Parts: sequence; C-alpha cells; structure tokens
Amino acid sequence: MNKIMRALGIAVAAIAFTMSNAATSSAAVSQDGTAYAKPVGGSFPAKAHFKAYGEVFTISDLKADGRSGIGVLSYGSAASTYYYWNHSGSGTTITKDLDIAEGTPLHIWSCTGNFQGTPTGGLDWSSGCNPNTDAGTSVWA
Amino acid sequence: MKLKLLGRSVASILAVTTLSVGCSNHSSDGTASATPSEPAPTSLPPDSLPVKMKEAAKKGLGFSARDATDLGRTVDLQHAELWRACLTRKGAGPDSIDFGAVPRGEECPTQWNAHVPTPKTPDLIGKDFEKSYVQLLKKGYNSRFIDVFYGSNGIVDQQDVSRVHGEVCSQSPKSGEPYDASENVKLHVAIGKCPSA
Repeated sequence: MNKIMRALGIAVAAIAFTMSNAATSSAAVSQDGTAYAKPVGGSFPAKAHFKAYGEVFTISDLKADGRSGIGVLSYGSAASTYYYWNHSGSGTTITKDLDIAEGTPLHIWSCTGNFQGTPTGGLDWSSGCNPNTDAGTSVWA
Repeated sequence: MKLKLLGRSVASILAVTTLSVGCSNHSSDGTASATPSEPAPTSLPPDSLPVKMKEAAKKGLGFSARDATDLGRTVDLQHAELWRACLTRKGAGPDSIDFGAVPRGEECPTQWNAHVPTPKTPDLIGKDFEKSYVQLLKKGYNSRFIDVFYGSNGIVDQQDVSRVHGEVCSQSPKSGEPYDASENVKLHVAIGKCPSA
C-alpha cells in the first residue's frame, strides 16, 4: 500500500512539474514589443505595439503632423507583411485582434505616410516609410 | 470568444468582398470615383496599387502586396505607383486583404501565381543611368535589390540614388539573362561617360 501511495505521489509530482515547465516555457516564448517610427523634431510620430496576451496589435498616431501612423505586422516574408494605416488623427489608436498560434514569431515596425497622397492620388509612401530600410522589433504570440 | 471571432470573420469577409466588387466595377477610362469632400485623383488609374491600398485603409483593412504571378517579385512600395492591383483575397492578418499585383506594363493574370514567361534582363550598357533605373523599376525590379556603384564612391545608399548621373558601364546579370528574384542587380555607373575600352 505504501509503495502504491509513494508511486502515486511521484506520478502526481511529475505531472505537476511538467505543467509548471510548460507554463514557464510558454511564458518565455510569448513576448510583447513596441516599435516606434523614426523620430521627427525630437519626438516619435507613431508607434506599433504587440501584446502577446490576447494577441493584440495596436497602431498609434502620436503627432499632429498631418501624417498617418502606420503599423506593420510581418509574418515572415515581404509577401506576408501587412500595413495598417491609422488615419484617424493625432492621439488616436486603432486595435487589431490577432488570431494566431502561441509561439508564432512576428516582426513589427512603425512608420508614417501621407494618407491624402500625392497629387496623382493613392497613398504616399515616398517619405516617412521605407519597408526596405525601416527597422523593427521581433515579438512572439 | 467564438462569437467575437465569428463576427470578426464575417466583417472581414464583407469588407474584402466589398473591396473586390469595387475592383471589378471601376471604369476603364482612367477615372476614379471619390467622395465629394476629397479631391479626385487626377493621374493614377483606378487599378493603381496606391489607389487600391487607400481604399483598403479607408475601410480599416490592413493590406499586403505581392506579385500576382509565379515570378515571385517583391512589390516595391517605394514605387507602388508603377504597379497595378489585379487580384484580391482575404489576408492572413486580422481584418486584412492581399493584393496580387504586376508592373503596370504587364497584363493582369486571372489567377494567383499564374505562370508567365520569365522576363529577360535588359541591355543597359552605355545607357543613361536614370532611364535605366526607371526601366528596371517598371519591369518589377525592387529598388532594394538594385546595387548601384557610382564612380569610385562604391555602393550608393538607396536615398542617394537620385544624385547618380552618368552612363551605365557594366551590369550584372548580363543582358538577356532570365529574371531571377533571388539575384541582386548590380550597376556600375560612371560619373559622366564610361571610360573607353
């Protein structure tokens, strides 16, 4: 009987250790992150933030400069990189709820663009946002 | 939570559907519809990538842009006006849309990853750099993957390319070689004329 109880105790302890380990590694894998657009006149004009808990991506326009804040979310390649424009004005934040597997690596960054565009129409990427050179930060869902 | 997800999915599908319908309803006369409060685009055609991107952003959608063909070119957002949006589908990101695009001089494919003939590298030797550079961009080469060497100054930063004036003295890949998305184009440009051989 003692042997059975001891074996049961060891089994319960082993299960508890495994669960604790899983929780620890899960927490270690998930990581929040914030990326700021290049500073203009000493302040950041926009930022993108990823919150791993709940998988929430927010894009904030921080400066009244007539430009939109852009949050960029990349799943890896250039073809799977998504651009979110916050054209609601300075001081506003838009929120996007992601639905992705835990531990998924992502890359985020922020920049600004002209929503009114050039005289030829469309969005204007020509200044403030260069996907070829802008740096960002890595996060994990 | 499931209701939230369902609601989001339905909203995304509706938004993408609306955008897709918008794509097919544009007239072919080069005019774009615009709300009265905003100045109408005057030059960019309605299927131009920046115009389509703006329509998506107005709807609160994120967007990606990728080559609609099987050439795997990376769409150059710094020169998005040189691309036309041909195809749309629901994106992998939240509330998002994928644009399938081709350079403006090409015909739109009717399906994603459509097979098209591989373009040949143009002959740029002895030609004016600025015209050559634009020619490459119009063919779908990404400015990120064009290395410009100018005089004895070595490689030129992307933001300084507009300061390069002169003849293209050598190029890689060579003229006539098939386009390869994984290969950078290298252009050696003289300050002025190329030295005679």
